[in-house]
Amino acid sequence: MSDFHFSAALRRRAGVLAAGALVLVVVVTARLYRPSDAPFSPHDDAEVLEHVPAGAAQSQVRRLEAQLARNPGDLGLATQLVRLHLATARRTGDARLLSYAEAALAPWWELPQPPPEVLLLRATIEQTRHEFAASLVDLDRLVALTPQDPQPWLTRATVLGVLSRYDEARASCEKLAGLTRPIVQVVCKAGIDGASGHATEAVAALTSALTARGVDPAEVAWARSVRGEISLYAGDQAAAERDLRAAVASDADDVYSRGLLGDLLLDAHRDAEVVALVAPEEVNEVLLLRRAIAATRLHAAGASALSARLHASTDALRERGDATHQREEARLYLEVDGDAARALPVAVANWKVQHEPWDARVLLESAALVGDRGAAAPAVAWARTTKCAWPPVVTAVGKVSP
Amino acid sequence: MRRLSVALCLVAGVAVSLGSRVAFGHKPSDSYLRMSEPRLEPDRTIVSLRWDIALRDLDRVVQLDADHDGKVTWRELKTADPAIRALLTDKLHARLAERPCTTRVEPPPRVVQHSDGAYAVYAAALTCPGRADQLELTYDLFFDVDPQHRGLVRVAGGGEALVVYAKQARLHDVTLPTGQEQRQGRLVGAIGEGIHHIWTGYDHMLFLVALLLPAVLRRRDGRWVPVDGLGPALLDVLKVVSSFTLAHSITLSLAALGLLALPTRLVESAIAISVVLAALNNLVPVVRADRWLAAFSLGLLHGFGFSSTLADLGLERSALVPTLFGFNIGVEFGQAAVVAAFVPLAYAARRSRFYRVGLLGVGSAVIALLAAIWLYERATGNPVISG
Repeated sequence: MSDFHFSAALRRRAGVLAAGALVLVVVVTARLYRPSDAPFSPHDDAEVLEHVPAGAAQSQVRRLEAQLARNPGDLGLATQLVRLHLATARRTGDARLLSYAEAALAPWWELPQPPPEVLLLRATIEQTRHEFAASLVDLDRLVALTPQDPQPWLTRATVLGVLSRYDEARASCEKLAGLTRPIVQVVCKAGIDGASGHATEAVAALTSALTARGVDPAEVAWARSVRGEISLYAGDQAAAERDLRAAVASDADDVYSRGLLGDLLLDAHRDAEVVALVAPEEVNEVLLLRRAIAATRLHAAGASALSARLHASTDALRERGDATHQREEARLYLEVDGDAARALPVAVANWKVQHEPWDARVLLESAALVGDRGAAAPAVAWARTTKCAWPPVVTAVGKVSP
Repeated sequence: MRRLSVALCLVAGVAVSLGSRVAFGHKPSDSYLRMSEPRLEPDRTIVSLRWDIALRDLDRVVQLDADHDGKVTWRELKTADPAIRALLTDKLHARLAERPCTTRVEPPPRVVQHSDGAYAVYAAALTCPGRADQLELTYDLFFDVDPQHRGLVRVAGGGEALVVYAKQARLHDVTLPTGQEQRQGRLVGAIGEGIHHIWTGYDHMLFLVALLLPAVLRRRDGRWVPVDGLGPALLDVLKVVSSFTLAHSITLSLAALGLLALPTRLVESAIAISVVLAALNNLVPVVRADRWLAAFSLGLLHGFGFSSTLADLGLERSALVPTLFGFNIGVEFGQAAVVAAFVPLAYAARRSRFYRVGLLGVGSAVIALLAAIWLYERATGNPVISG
């Protein structure tokens, strides 16, 4: 075979080209590399594979579970255990705990006439799982059984509010008169008023109740969180931030207020503050969603890993047939992926389940980007009925209605 | 609106705190079963499964965290292995054409990461008398302690059907895939895995590059000089690559057939040594004309490395040959792509100083260094660099 002869310049160029090819191979290889999802056998016996609940609270759970196993009919033990699970679930957002609570109530869960305490806990669990219809059935029975108990009236008002059945919700709040301390009724009613176009009155009522004597700190935190939410959706960011920060400061487990605060900061483009608000080791993915949105906007390291994690969770939920988290799923597609076409059907399905400002917003914004006015119509109607003054909703309504 | 939470404390005087919605995060509990092609024998059918179960769920039932420190270690999982297998064996039952099958869950467990944490991975087998394609499968894991638990059974083959088991739905008829669609799917899948493995297995890739770098040069008077023609270069590449291929095919097959087994850590460390040696040989040549021999002997080692990947694919005896064949083809494809991209450029650049000093010299030194770090990591288990 004969040799080819190259000029010196050509040789140099070829050398650079070869180096380039080698670099390309390495880069492509590195990009193709993904942490393997293949099973492995750890090398080290002491390698920690998983973190599980432990400590005093967990010992108490185990003790109660053992006692309950010995006395399966002891409703007092069961409700005690359920309350422990629900308190932890509120903080961590761990849906497994709701199921453990359900298991603890198993002897009563399927009864045709469960005792009132079981009905209340079941309604609470159902509400948390977004099974609003089932929750309402239980609550309606409960208010008939124990009309003097304020809690079912309050929970019922909450569920009706989520379903945008404001008149019935308000009537449920009215029933609290004389059953409990006045501020409870004020907060109940203000929550409904605030959601249905009477934000100014609601904020005034809460402010007046908060200045009353002898309100305990937990009630203050609760009322301020509600007032913060109303101010947020009424477009008063400064007032909202003051209240939400106060609520978060007085109750670190109040994930709901932290989520609202995160949204407020995101809308103000204070993304770095969101990253600071939600630690990377946070376990509640509702909060991690806010962090993912902020990190994506900031092009922060770890943004894509966090997004991948939330996608994996969403996919796993859909696979098991769980539709509880469609609001967050739609927001993930819209605000992290920037994929309105993918977000829209999820937002549409979510609107069939619940009607809160965020449900309307994610539907309106996805529909506006896709240009699908028909899909947005129910949320437009809702925004008009409730005179929603939340700037993002107002803007989006303007884009999808003539 | 929400916050029954505080209200519950206030009104009822108890600490239920569930106003805010428990949302999105931490999905409820699932276990995943992947069912592969049934193996048909004259008088029985054997269905293999890969079963992934969350460590958190297992901890609730068999107390994985024996020392209650909130951490489940690999040792604790291995200790609990007999109890876990007893549990699993008890919770999965099948009938084929009205006749009961036996369930066997094989040790040892492995581990995999899903979106909500670490899972134990078990290989299970359902051995059924007779033959039929409708399996009546009953799944009963965790429902007593976790009524929202789901068992998701994925049936491999054509459509990747998904069957969902729930407390109220513990029994389903599962259609077993036919052998034909299975084998095709498996072959394609195995080829893909082979390509993926060679492209993402830095060690094999760098070994190959280290062997190929001097192919367009030869030694004269203790110096590298360019080869005169393309012929010798191509012959050298051909000898090196086919020796490597032949060697790793042999050991891969032996290991996959279960005829030879070496400890993973030993193999992985030895592979790292082989890369160091191949790269150093470019700097201080010891093996010269017979680089194909080096490629062959060290290729034997790399075959063992491939086999651990293949084992992770969940290899069943019935599908061994197509999987092995496909994986090998995939690895060859991946290698051929590297060679095809590298050799023409290297040949064209062989006379330049840049090639001899920059690529052969510095490149080999970098490869040797990288492989030395791997060697340290693999031998000691301490990570230095990720990947």
